[in-house]
Amino acid sequence: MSLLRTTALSKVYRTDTVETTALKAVEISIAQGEFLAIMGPSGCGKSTLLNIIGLLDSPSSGSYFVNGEDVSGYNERKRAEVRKNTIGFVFQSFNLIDELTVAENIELPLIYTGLGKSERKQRTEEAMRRMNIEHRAKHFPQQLSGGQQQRVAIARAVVNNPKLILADEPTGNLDSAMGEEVMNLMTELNKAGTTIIIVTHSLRDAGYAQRTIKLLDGKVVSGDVPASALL
Amino acid sequence: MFRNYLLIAWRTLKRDKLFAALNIIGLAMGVVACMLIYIYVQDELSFDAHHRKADRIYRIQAHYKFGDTQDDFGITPFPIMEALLEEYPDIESGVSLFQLGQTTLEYEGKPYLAEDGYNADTSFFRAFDFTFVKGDITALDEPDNIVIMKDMATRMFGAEEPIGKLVTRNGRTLKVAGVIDQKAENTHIPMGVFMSRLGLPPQAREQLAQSWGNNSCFNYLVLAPGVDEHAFQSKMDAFVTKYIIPAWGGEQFHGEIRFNLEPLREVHFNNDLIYDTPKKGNKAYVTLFAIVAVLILAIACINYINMSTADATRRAKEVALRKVSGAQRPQLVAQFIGGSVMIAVIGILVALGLLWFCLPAFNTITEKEIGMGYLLQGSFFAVVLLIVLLIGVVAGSYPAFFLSRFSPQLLLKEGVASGAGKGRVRKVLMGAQFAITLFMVVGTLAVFAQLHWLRNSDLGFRKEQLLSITMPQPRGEDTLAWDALRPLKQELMRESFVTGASFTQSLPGQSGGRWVLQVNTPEGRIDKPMPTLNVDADFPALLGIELAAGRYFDNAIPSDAQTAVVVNESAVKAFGWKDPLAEKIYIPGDAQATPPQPEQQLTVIGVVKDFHYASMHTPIEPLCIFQSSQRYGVQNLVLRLAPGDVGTQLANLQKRWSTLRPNDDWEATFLTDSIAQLYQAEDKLFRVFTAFAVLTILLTIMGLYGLAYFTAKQRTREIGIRRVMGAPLFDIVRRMNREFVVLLGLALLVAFPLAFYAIGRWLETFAYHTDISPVLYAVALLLTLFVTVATVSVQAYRAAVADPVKALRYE
Repeated sequence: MSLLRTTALSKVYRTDTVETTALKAVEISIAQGEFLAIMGPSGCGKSTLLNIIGLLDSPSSGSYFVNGEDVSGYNERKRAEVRKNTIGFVFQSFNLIDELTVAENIELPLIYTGLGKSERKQRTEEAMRRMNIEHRAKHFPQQLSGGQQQRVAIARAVVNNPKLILADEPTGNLDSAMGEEVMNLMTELNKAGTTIIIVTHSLRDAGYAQRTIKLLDGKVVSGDVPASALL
Repeated sequence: MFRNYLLIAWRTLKRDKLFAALNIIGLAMGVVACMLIYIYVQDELSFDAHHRKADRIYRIQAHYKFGDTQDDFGITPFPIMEALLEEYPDIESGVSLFQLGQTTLEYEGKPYLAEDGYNADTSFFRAFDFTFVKGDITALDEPDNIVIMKDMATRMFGAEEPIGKLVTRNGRTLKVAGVIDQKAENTHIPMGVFMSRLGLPPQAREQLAQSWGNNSCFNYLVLAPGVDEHAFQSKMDAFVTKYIIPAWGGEQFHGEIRFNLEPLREVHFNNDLIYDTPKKGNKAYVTLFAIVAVLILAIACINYINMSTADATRRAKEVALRKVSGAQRPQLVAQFIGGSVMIAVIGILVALGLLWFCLPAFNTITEKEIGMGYLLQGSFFAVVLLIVLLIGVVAGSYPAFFLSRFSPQLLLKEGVASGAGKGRVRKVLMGAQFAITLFMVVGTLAVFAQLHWLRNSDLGFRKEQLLSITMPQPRGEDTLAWDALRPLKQELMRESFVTGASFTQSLPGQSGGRWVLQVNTPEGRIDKPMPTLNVDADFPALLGIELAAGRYFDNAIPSDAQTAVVVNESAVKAFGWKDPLAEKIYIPGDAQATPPQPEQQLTVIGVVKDFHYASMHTPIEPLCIFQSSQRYGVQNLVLRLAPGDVGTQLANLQKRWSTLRPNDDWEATFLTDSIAQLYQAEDKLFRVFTAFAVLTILLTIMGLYGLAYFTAKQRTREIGIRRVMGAPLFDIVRRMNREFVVLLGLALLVAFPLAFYAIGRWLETFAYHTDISPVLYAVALLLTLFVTVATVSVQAYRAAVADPVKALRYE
């Protein structure tokens, strides 16, 4: 059964003088438990697609279904509700809050779910253990290496046990060793049942995925490329 | 969740301590200024508010109009109170209060001076509420009782029980029956000693009871509950017609007399009356200070909002992540406002600390005695709470509502939220701040200019080196004591440095007498109220007043003391006299007096050039000068001292005085000081305005510094690129300053016209004032421009000298 599905999804950015079509009638379907990579050159629309999938943005036309429900017309309030219950995000530049400790950064999504303090603490500690970062719980992001920061970001993404994790160039700011570490973590999460979608330039990172979708000029040019075919 | 918000707010403060300090201290300074002014305004408005019957007590004013001259008196004839009580059941009670001026009591042979003394009705302490530390409101019910003030009791009796102690005044024995804490309440009545009117000699009481035409005491009515003031006022005209007009000649009287009811709580602010209690408040200044308080608080809030807004753009990423994590807009708004309120609370706490520190200086400037206990009052806390909420909510709202409306991915893009931080709102706020600063600086300079002009203007006489000695005032019937005063002049002139001396009733600036006299004009004989002076023959030479015509009083001409009068040029002009030395002035008779008083005719023997015998708040009027008699005109002895060591001169004079008058206090003031006292209100205004103008400038500097700091950060990439392209340092500094200088230019278009209007209105309250030169405005602009450029340039220079490579890499 598909977790996510888009039909004729398009996104057009308009200013007073310029109209840019970022996505053109994109149709994809992602099953629960899949590990999908989205690839393409700069400007092909892959981050735009990821933002729409992650309900950070809304399409200009077309439909987007999550668990069979059409969410393409949702307002920001409803999108936030779906995000906090279903989706975790990992960014290229980590995007940790400098004023919060590692534990507090990881706890952040739980604050908006209405969980009690002890429950939040328990889940945070579990997430830190999973990412092997609990010894840095009281440190601030600027005291960590790039790889450690990304582990914190991943811990934050999974602390709510989301069904879907979206990662935009998760190894883009890391060296190859740390990047490999992060991708291994992603693989473990996927094996545990989490659906993962990554946007990447890296063939190596895409190789961790079960399937790769290629975008060019806002269109899906190849949507069913198995990982083995890429290497 | 809330803990998380406060945690971030606190750690944000710690991360950038300079910004936090600027924000909090700036806010604290503005709040302190606002609190101080609030305390001042509340204190001024509290005068006479504590009396339980305050809203039913009215003082009777007398309004007289003769031709084109009108006067309003704070005192009214003594007999009216008994008649009013008989005529109108609407009146619950009445109080008559005679002001005696300085009063000396003697105890165990030593004299003790009270600044004010009164004869008061037994109803006085029943109508007015004062805090008795000893005795009670029945203290004046016996004829020989006296009520004194707490500090006087301590001076006279130390720790001994004051009640029952016997003191003397002018040979009369009085018993202390009450002691009042004079500092417990604010009242328009200067506190002093109160003697019971029951103790007046029968002859004096009889004389007073007949003096319908003589304004002699303060009269207060306590209207019965439910009586409407306006309805009662309408009865006063009939009362005047029945009782007062007959004393003025009945149908022969062609002037106008009205008795007006003055609400008790307005008395403190009424400066327009003749013969009134001193040390008045000024409602216009109270209002002005309240406006200044609002302006300063506005500046502090503008600073806080601007810096909070600028800082908020740094938190765009945090907002984005919270939104990504599922935060709803109301939760984000609550976070920002909560953090802002927290900083406001810290600012308030710092303000309270600053307030404790500033209160003594504040009390010195405003001549009040307000303690920190005032802060425990409920109304003060309410105001503080309101300020905290206002600042916290308003300042937190803009970034809260602004940032929370962006979608997360836009917020994560660098520069989107910060680009909007160039926003119009911050510029408008900064412009408003500049306008307020310009207004305050121009206002302060204008007040200084007027004050300087007042202090240094030619008053028509030479005021330097003149020392005035307050003469003792014996009892009226003590002829020998009066005779003994005159030789004091010759005795003190024995000092080689005393080059001249003269007796005078009142000093220039003090309120002298004011009589209704009759003069001949081309239109016929008219009644004319005029200020009067009683002086001796040496007065004009001593003060350097020029004669315009005729002669001055001559001691060799005895009739001068009875029938001569000297007028000023304004009198000649006002009465249309062609040959003033041929004119007469008449003192109207009083047929109803006991014994009846005939009309007296006075011959004008001389005309002096106009001089300022009063403060420059009032115009020079036609003035009559009489030669001083045995009892009138010897209140002060004025000496001209040769230039020299003032300390030694005063010591010598005091020593000689102590030999001549061992039982009388030495009280001497330089005329320059007593004249300066006339402009105390303006002096206070200047000091307050200066303090607040300095504060405004400091706050503006803080705000500018913070804003420039963030502007520099915002433009790091641009500056880096320009530097790489070869832009000189000066170019970078100039560019950063341009934005603020343009705002300053726009601000002056608003501030200067407003300042011009306000200053013009203020100067109109003076009969004489300086012209405000455009240079004042130029100085204000240059000062503000200098402050702006200096402050912004510091940040601009720092940004300009930073390594451009690092700046570009950062981006």
